[in-house]
Amino acid sequence: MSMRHGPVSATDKPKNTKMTLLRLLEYVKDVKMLFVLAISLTLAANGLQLILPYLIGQVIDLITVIDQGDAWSLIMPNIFWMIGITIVSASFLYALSALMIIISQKIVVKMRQQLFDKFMDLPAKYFDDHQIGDMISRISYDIDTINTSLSSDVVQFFGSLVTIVGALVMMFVISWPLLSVFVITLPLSIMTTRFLAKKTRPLFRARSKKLGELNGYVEETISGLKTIKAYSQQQTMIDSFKERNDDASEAYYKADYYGSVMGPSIGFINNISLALISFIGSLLYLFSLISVGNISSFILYSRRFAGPITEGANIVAELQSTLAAAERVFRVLDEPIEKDSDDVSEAKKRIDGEVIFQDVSFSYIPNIEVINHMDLHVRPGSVVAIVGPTGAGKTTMVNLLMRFYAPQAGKILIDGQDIQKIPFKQLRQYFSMVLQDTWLFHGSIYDNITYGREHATLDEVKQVAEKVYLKSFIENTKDGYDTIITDDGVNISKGQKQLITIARAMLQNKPMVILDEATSNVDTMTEKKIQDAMLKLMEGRTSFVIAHRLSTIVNADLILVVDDGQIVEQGIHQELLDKKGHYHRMYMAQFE
Amino acid sequence: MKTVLGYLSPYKNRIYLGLTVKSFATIIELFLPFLLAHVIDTIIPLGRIGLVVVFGLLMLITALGAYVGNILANRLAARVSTNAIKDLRDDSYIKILSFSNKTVDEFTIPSLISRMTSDTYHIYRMFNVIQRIGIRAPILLMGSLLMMLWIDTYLAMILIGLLPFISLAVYVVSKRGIPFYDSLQNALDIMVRVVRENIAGIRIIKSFAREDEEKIKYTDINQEVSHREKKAGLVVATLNPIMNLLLNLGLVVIIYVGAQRVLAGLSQTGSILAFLSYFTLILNSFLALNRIFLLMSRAGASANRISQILVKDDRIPILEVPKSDSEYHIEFENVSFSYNNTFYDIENIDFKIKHNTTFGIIGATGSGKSTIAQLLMRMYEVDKGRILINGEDIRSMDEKSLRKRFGVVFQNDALFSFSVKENIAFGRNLDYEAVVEAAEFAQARTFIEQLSHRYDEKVLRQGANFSGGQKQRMLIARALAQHPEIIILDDASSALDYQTDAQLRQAIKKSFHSTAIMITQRVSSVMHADQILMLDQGKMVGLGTHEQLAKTCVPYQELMALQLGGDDHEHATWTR
Repeated sequence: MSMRHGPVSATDKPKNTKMTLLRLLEYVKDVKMLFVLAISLTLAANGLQLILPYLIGQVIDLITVIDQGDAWSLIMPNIFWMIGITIVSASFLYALSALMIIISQKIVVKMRQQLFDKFMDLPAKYFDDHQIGDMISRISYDIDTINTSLSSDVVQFFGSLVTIVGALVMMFVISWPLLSVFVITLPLSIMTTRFLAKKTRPLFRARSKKLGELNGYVEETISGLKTIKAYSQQQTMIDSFKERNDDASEAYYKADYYGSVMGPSIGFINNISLALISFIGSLLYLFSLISVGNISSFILYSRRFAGPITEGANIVAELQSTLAAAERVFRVLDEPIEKDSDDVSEAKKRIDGEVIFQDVSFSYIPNIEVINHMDLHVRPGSVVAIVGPTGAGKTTMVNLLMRFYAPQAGKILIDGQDIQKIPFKQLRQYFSMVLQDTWLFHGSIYDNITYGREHATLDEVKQVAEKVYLKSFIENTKDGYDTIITDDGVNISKGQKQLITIARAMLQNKPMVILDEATSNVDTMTEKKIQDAMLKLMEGRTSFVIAHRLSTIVNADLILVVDDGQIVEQGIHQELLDKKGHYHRMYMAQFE
Repeated sequence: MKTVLGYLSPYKNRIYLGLTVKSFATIIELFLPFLLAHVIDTIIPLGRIGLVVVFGLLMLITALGAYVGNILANRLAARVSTNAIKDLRDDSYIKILSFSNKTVDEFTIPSLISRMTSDTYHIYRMFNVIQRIGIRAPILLMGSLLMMLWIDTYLAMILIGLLPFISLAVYVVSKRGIPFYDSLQNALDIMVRVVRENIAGIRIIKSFAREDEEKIKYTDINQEVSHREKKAGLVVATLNPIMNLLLNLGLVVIIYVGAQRVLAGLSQTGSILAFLSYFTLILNSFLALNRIFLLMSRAGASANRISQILVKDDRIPILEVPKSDSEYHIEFENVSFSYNNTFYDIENIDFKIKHNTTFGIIGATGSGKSTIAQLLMRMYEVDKGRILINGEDIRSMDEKSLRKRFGVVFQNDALFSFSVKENIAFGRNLDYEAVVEAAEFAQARTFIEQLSHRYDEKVLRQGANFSGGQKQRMLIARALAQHPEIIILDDASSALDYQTDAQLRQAIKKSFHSTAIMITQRVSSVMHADQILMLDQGKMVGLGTHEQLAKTCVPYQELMALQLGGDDHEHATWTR
């Protein structure tokens, strides 16, 4: 196993090896010339090194065959050649490594950018269906695997190829009868490698799986430690851990037990070759069919020959995990992106904010209707309150309005324009959105407020900051508007973050807003500020509010009642109360 | 490091055996080139086939010996490292589970998890590699040198003269390379942060139609990472060619000097050949040693992180405090507590709860509501004052007997990937009926019995296959099972609809002889409690019934007004 593998190595086999390999090669096309240069360097460097044993053999023959005297005049050129070759091949080797680093970086930068661009273009659904950690591991771990493989394995592979072929040719030239040794040992080592690989592969896979399970268990139980302690269940968890730990350890041992045979086996076969070569070599020498120097050269070549074969198994394994990683990357790149349909037309620049739902039906999962033939008319500037228990699917409306998801039937019209028929980007420009989990990025307060309107002036920023009650707070910090918002956000409270997102939406000045009112995790004062700021934001704009405050709900122009993922009722407060349905039940339940 | 290495000591004998076998096998291997030299120098010129056969067989036997020995030793090593690491993991896990919450907070949960997973893995690799190559590489190195000295002292000195240069090269390159890798790691961290940020905010980014700008922003960090990686790579890539160059030059010198000496009759041809073989061995052992050092430095850091867990001592003492009788079930006497010893997170909390009553705690997040529950269960130690249950100081009870009294649902409580039944019973010996009963009280029975495997349905990680409301009901069922003496529900019904919430409260009132503590931010959830404690920034700002607080307690009135929203509506925000 190589150093680069993490605890759970990506031993999953690629599904379509050939296609993936071809696709990886596509990237090489961009750096064709560099790559050709690299291959030539590989051939040259390894080829040069192959001459060394030959020269050594020459020298040895010279000192055994020729007695004294003029031997030196013959030996010295060889020595100089050796020095020259050594220096040249070492510089070639370095140039090669440097070149491969440059090549692989070119490819990797491109791939990473493609992957990131893809993430930006994927529809929201993709992010609902996939875990963030998984996406990050693709852009970091998987790409890194490909990188390492490109910069080292490729060189090694071609180098090995040259060495194997070259050494074979040289050995053949030196003494073809001696080569017969490999007729026995070569198939033997290939068979051994294959046999062992076949035997150990499932064991290593089982080992990864068991370790993954153990790690999962650890993560889960340590995260839930408080609960375990509250119920004094440490011992139960420990017993169960021990079982899993035993399993994982046994899987490790089994894999190592068989895996540990590989190295010595190959070593053994190589040593047999050595013994056979010296034995057969001696016989040939006795019949004057070979010189001592040639036996030496032959032995040196056979050693060079053995190396790549031992490595071969490793390289194949690395390549497998590289291909698996590449496949994971390609799978993302192949996902369909959010694309405007062909018949889109330019959207209106200015709108009043009238929204009409015409017989809209929608479901996330086929056959489980979320919205069923809904008709809706929202007048410009009115407030729509979406109410229902947490997790009841209140974000569905947001998903449809912003076209994060498309309805299966019916039409949604904004100022008379079918939203399916206008470009995504222009549609979304109609809305400002303030969600419950405030999204701020690592950057200054100024950058965060002006996000989406970079050319806003400081005065404009100050104005909105004042409106959302942030001005004095910001101006009292040491760096003012340049204060950096960090990940841990220690310098800024949750409520203030919420206010910044409201300020951002205000600065946008869009005709419609989407708001999530859930803001209970702040102190009373801040809550008041947030409520006020939100009211200001809603002023004069068509507003869709995931509502939590009774005042918002009661005063809304339209209430949508969501329950168990479905929009079950719509109307105004009194209407809905009179209906004595869901809304009435929910409203009354709080008085029990 | 020492603590962790101690885990190898129970397997001392096996390690010694393994190392002995390994050394033996390695030494045998060292004889092969020597035999080869002998064949070429002495046997071949004799021209006796019989002797050639004998030596051929001898080499074969030697190779076989090395083969068997190496496998045996590797297997012993595998056994020792898996066992040692198993023990290490067991002990670390047991230790972590015994940690007080304060200690867990200090380490932080993600850090504890990564210590248990990736750090133990690095140590395993180290244990394994040390045993397998750690002994082999030095023996090969030293052995080769000795053999060479023995075969031809003069020629061997040339190689020995080369060693300092090689060591220097390794040292300089690693020393220069490490800072580059550190700076690469920083850039990578930033890159991951940018990606995470963008994925987390994808909806917002799309709503601003800022995808293209984000792509351009990413390009910068992408290039920076690549730039630093190139720099680091180009430094480290020098090592291989340099070692190659040095060793090959050494080889040339040996051949040059060797040739002189052979011609002068001072050395033999076979010696040069043997040297060539030993050279390869030396090159390989250098590479192996280099790898071991890399591994050791990484594993060393891991070992330290594990040691910190193992040596941490935070047993909570049991105090000898005389028990007094009390008519109250739970009493907080002037309790103050601080998480980080800088300021009190709760201060001078003082209240009494009678048996079989409901006690509500209300206040904003960060006001210290959950802290009170944590202290009551002795998850943390009070800094001032004391907490009594039935007149007995909780510090005088042993942990188990104290916690047995509680059924609790914490804020964001955990479901485990066991079955529904196991999640409710949670290690306690509950029979099927008890589980069903608990589910019934928690209003969970209906939905559980509609699952395809009912109570045996597997809960996925973090309860991913259940809705928020279903998760909360299972957690509540866990808390209610076994009719605990004290029920604590910390923000446990936020995902329940009003009907269910009300039914749950009634079920507890009717069927349980328990004291219930309800922690919430919702006035409507506590207004029926026998007593309500209102907290603001860790201080008591009100204690009494709903009616009393509504009349006298200003913050409570404010909260009511806020949740009320309008003047003519009497109650609470209602859709949380």
